[in-house]
Amino acid sequence: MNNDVSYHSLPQPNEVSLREREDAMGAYLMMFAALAAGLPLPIINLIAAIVYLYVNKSKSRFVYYHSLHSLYAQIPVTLFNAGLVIWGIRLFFTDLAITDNFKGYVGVVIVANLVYFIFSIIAAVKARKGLMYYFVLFGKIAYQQAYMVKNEDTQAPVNRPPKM
Amino acid sequence: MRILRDFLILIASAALIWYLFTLIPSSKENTLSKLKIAQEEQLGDKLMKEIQKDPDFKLIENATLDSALYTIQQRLLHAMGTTEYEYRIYPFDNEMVNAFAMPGGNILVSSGLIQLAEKPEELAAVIAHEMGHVENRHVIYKLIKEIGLSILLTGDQMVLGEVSRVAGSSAFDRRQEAKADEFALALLEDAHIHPIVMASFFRRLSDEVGSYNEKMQVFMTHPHNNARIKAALEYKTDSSFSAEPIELDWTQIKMAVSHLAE
Repeated sequence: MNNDVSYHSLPQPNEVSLREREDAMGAYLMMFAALAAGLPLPIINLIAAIVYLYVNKSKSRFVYYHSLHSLYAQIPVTLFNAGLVIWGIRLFFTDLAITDNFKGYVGVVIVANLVYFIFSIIAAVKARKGLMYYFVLFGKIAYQQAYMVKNEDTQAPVNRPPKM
Repeated sequence: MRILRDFLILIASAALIWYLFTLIPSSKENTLSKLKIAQEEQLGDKLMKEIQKDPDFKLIENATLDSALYTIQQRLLHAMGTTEYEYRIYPFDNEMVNAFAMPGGNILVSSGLIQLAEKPEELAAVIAHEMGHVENRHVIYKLIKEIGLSILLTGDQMVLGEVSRVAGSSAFDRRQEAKADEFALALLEDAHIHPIVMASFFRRLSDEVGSYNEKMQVFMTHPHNNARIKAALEYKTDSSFSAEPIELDWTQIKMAVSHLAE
């Protein structure tokens, strides 16, 4: 990582308000409801996650981080689930052969959902306590996006007249 | 860099999990591997006794026909080489066009089907197709799926009646039919019988559907016959292939069968 990239300081648990903690926890728990609702069409939960992110984005970096974190972690799981639905329908309409590849894929989908489920609960509990929690890969990406100092953050907005 | 590394780790673990799960044997393979060929043949013998009680499957005892079927069977078995099954072909007296395989390599062919075949090669094609079901263990798998292995092996009279009904009536799925066709086409080629006979016989069956209608049974109840005819027509024989006719007086055999019907 480049050294000239700086990050906003992380809030310590005692600095995070109860409201922020609950909103951050909600980012994970809300995904479960959406994931279940989105089961026949596993893309619905992604839409719900994006909506949640935009609603809560401006509340605080802590909430923004957890919403992003949850959303990113959900993308591969959703893609896996969607793949399973499509593959399953194709199998049903073409031939009913359960190939080894399909079995393997079902295994991956089950494991991915389980891992996602378990780690989301852990993350929700941590968020409720005002703690940060980083998933492999997604934690880093979400942290970078939520906490990296961007140029526009450092410069105070200035009103200028239109160019004539 | 770390992000890239994490990404690769995730992809690699997904691939590993995928691979590991492909190694799990399916329950079908499990049940089938538990059931030995000898057991299947035992069950087949019991079922043959059971099915003979059914007036619809009255076996034909006719020396001319038996020797003809034996000739066809030998031609096919010689081409197949090694097989774990002991094949027996039983003709039965029924005007429906029907042929099916029972567990343990017993194949039943109706007199209606023999009548419809224009030459012995066409009957060989049907038998080769049924042998495909036997070799791929479709028959026993169908029974296990519909009746269950433990019940199947009890040998109870009531159960046997039900088993013979299932074996003789319900169809295989498309994939199994395609596999049996594939097996049959290759076997016909090896037996120096032109695989095109399969297409011609299928086509005649399809054409006859109008007049026969209810007489058409298992053999043609499955869908996608056009696709199957097409596959048989498109089958490419080896350049060294040469057809050798099956030396049988087919008219005489058909006469023998038709006398039985009267």
